Amino acid sequence: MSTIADIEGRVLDRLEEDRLTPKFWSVQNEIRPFIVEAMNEAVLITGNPEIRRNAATTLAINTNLFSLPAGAIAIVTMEGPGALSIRKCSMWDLDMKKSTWEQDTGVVPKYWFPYGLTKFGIYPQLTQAVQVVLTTVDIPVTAARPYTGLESIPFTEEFDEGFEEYGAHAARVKEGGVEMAQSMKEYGRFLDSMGEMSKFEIRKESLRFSRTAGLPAQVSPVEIK
Amino acid sequence: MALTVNDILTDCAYVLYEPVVATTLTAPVVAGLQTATPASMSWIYVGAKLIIGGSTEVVVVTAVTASTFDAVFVNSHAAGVSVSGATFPKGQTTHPLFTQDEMLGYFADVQNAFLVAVRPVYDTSVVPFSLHDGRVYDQPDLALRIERISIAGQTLKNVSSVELDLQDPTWRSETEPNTPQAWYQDEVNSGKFGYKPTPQISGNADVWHSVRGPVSVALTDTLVLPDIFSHWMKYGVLARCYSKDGEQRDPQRADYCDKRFQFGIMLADKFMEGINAKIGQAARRQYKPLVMQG
Repeated sequence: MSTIADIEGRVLDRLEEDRLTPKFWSVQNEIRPFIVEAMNEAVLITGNPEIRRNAATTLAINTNLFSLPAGAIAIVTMEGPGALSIRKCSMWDLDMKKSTWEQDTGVVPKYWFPYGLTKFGIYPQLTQAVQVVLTTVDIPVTAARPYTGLESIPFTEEFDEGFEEYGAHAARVKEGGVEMAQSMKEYGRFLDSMGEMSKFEIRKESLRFSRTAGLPAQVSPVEIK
Repeated sequence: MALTVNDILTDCAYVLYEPVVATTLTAPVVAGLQTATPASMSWIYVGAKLIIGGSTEVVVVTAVTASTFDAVFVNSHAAGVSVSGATFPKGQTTHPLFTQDEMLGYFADVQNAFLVAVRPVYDTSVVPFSLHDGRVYDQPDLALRIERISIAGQTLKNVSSVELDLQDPTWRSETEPNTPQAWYQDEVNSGKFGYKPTPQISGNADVWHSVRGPVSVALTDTLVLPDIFSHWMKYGVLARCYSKDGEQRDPQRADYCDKRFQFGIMLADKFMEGINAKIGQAARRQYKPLVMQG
């Protein structure tokens, strides 16, 4: 797996900058954040990286709502005790089925539902704390700034050139004018590349972004057609 | 570690060719009005807001010399802590291209524009009700849109006052049952909602809602949005910078930055749609039965 440092030199090459002593752009304050920007866009386009978390998440008692683990923006799957599969639903589904669902209690969660990109809920409320294992779509880089270059890129190597293209284009916004306009091709290639990578998900996991339990399986709408 | 408003404004500063403060204190300071000695006084001017590390705080520079600055410190800080900030020093203090307050205002506007368009963050708030407070209440302070209301774990039905009028024109005088069964938001002032029937006892309602950001932000505030959306904040702020009637105006880059911001909204919306995280869209989906207990 690559690191930011593996890509930043190639970005500088595209900007006709010396890799060791760039003149016009700061590696630490500009190039590296641009590469992180590229990864952030890649997450929303492709739905990667999905990380099955090693550390279990504890669901406390007497509450339906919880915050997502640090660094996650979406839950893909939830595994309960004994690798029990806890199915996804929606808050709307729960309201339609039973208006008093918040009052129900149980020893293990039966369903979970997303509540925006920062929280999730469970049904029913628990009478004892339960540990679950989450697979989540994660923010690719959560290290504090300034980035050192040692931060891992949690995407496979096929994504790297797209990140270079994005980094070079983002840098040229500072130049403005014709220079920036000419770099639009690089941004276009980045988007094309991410679009291609999103299509891989059709074979890999077309249900990864499934809606709620009970809806028919279909090609995820997040892939760029 | 969460990004801060200063991180986003620093990114903007680099694009705008505005230098940033990135130095350290060479001597400790204690709380109160103090003279601080940084390693470099570059880009520090009277009125600049600086982030002092250690027991992190934002201070406003009240006086400067060639090697020191004065500010009122709430906390003590050891030698060696960072002194940083996107101060937008060009033209300060007499004819600045941008001011920090201006940039902070742009950021608050952009963050709220994104939150309104995408609604990616939700929360719950407790809103007390009582007989004496009547039928109409204020929605929670940072609520963008109420998605559902429940009382003691019982979901209230979301209706409209028009619907209620058609069912029974005398519904406003109903007093049974003594706790609300439904809520509505039409034909009341914006930022308010109403109950049917009027509460006859005191209690608390759990209001589930999308969240908006504050109207003013500080340099050290973290983003209300998840950090994955941070670079679209940058483009939104830059769109405003390039649009203003000043020396940095650049319609081409303003248009580009605005289009990048709008693209970010589209991507975020598409992502939330894909993972079914967008509350309020559920009503358009086909209902499928779930196995429930009880």
